[in-house]
Order: sequence, then C-alpha cells, then structure tokens
Amino acid sequence: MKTAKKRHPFLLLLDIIIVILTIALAVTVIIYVKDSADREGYRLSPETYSHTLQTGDYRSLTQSFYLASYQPILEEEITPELRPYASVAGYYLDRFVLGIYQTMGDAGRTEQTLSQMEQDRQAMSFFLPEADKIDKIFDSVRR
Amino acid sequence: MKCPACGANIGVRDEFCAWCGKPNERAGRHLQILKRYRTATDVTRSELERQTLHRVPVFIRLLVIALQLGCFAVVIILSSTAWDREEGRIRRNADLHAAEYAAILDNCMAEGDAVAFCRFCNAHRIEVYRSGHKDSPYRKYRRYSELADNYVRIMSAAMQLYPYRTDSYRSEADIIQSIAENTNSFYGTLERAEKDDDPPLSEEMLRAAADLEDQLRALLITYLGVDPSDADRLRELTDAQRRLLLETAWDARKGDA
Repeated sequence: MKTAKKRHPFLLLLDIIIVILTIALAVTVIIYVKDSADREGYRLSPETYSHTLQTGDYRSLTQSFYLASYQPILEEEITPELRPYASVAGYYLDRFVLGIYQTMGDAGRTEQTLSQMEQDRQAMSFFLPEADKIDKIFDSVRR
Repeated sequence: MKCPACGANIGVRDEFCAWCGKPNERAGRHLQILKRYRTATDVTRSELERQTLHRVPVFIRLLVIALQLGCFAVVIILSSTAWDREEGRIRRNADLHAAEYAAILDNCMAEGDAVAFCRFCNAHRIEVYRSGHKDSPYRKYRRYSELADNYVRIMSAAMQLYPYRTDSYRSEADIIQSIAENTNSFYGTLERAEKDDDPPLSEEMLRAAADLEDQLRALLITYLGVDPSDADRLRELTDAQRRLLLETAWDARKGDA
C-alpha cells in the first residue's frame, strides 16, 4: 500500500505561516477597500441624513452640511438625492439666522434670508412638512 | 516455512504454530531483524532529508512569504498616504488660487456671512494656524478667521438648545458653558486685533469684525435671553462676568418658559 509522504516539520511551519499571512492579507485588503468606500459613502449617503431627519435632529443635519469644521459638504457635492436634506438644513440655518437679523433690525439681510428660505422650501420636495416643524421651533422663541 | 514441531505450513511472522500451538523461535528473530532494518532505513531517510532540506520547496515558500509581506507594506502605505495626498492637493490648490479664494473670502466678509466664510476656509484648509504664518497669502484674514470660527461655534452650540434634545450628550449647562467660553475667546481676539495686530487690520476688516460683534450680541439676545443693555456692555465685562451673565439669562428664560 502506498503511504502519503511525510512533510518535513520546517516546511510544515512555512506552510502554516503562508496560510496565516494569506488570511490576514485578505482581511486587511477587504477592510481597506471597504473603509475607503464607506468613508465617502457615509458622508454623502442620503441614508445617513434620513436617519438624522427622522429623529428631528435639525442641528446635526445643519452641522453636517454647513457648520462642519472638518470636510464640510460643498455645494458641488450635493447630489439631487441629497438636495432635499441640504434644503432642510439650509432652512433651519436660515431660520436661526433670521432671528438674529430681525433682532439687529437689519431689513436688507432679513429680506435676503427670507428669499433664501423660500428657495429652500421649494427644494425640500416631500420634506416640506419639516419646514413647518422648524418654523414652530423658532416661533416659540420669545424676543 | 514449516513448523519445527509438527511440520505444518506457518507464516514467517507467526510467533506460535496455529496447528500445534508450539512457539516459533525463528519468527521472533525475524521480527527483530525487520525492526532493526526499519530503524536503519528511517535514520538514513531523515538524514538525507536533513542534508538536502528540500531546498527548492523552502525557497518557493520563503518567496511567497516575502511577497505577502510586501503586499502588507503596500496596503499600509496606501492607506496612510491616501489622506496625506488628498490634504496636500487641497493645500497646494489653496496656495495656487490664493487670489481667487481671497476674493471669495472678501465677499463673505463684506456680507457678514461667517458661516460661508468658515465653510470655505474649512473646505480649502485655510485654517487659522495657516493664515497665521508670516508668508501665508491668507495672513490678513487671521483675526477675522478666528472671530468667525468662534462665532460659528457659538451658533452651533446655541442651536443645540433649539430644540434641546434630552438624549443629547451635552447638558444645557455644558452648552451654556461652551457658549460662554467661545464668547470670551471672541472678545479676547477682538481686543488683540484692535490693539496690536500685525499687519494692522484694514478698515473693511474692522467693519466686518464690528458687524460680527453685532451679530453675536443679537444672537445672545435672541436665543439666550440676554438683556439688550447687558449685551451692549459685553466687551467691558470680564470672562467670569460674561459667563455668569449668560447663565443667569438662560436660567431666567427657562424660568419664563
């Protein structure tokens, strides 16, 4: 009967190292590729902002689009899918700023902000009810 | 072979005769010789393996391991330099298009739009520390950039109060403290800018800074409930007094609500 040739222990050790390195390399490459894709994908994914909007966290939405100190989303990066979210964020920011200009008695900038808010409303599409919710938040601010 | 006792046919390895049951002495001797031969063969084989050590398979395996380690190094270098390369590209662009970018920043400043100013600076890495360098094309924006940054931080913190979320990681007191710290920082910068700035602030820069101060006052009046007369003397107050003023104003507003 033919028996299997016994492998030298040193070769066996090298084979084990190769198998371990192959698995580790595969995992590293997968993580690297996925991480690179996720980093951009997460920042510019409508799903990310959909969840924020569902929780009514307008401030976080505004922070992501307009107030982020690292990698803010630029106008040219806003895709048609992101536009409604950016408009809600813009509306919240404008509504906040409107209160400041009204207190200052700055008619010019108040008008300008109101016109910007109207543009945001039109771009909100099916998120239009959010504008009323934002108005409600700021209408309650006592001056 | 034949059994020496009964003459029956038995195997050379049979220790006892299957027919008469007598021990087969030759089988014992035979097995001992066989064992000795096997041991000698094993020793020779392992000695041969040790001497040759499968040189070719070992070389191939070591080559594969070296290649794998090389791949590891490439992945690690790629992942660490991808960010650096992108940052470097943005910073080079900021230096190359300084005139164009300066026009945009001037426009933001003239309109008193601190949010747009900071957004542009952040996107193009025109940070405060970079504009602070002597040979930076953005040096003239140094102070305004600091003021705008403080103002946007105050704005961002104040937004956390409208509406205040109970699941927020910051308490209302923390938010007010953050607003107070940034307000103090704002007035500290304003004082430094007006006193002994190098280069001295231009007329338009001073106008823009004053406008931002007006906006800050209005923000504190509107969203924190600071009394307008108190807001007018914010500049004269000490850091501690400003903080106390904001805390008192917010407590009063909450009490009214």
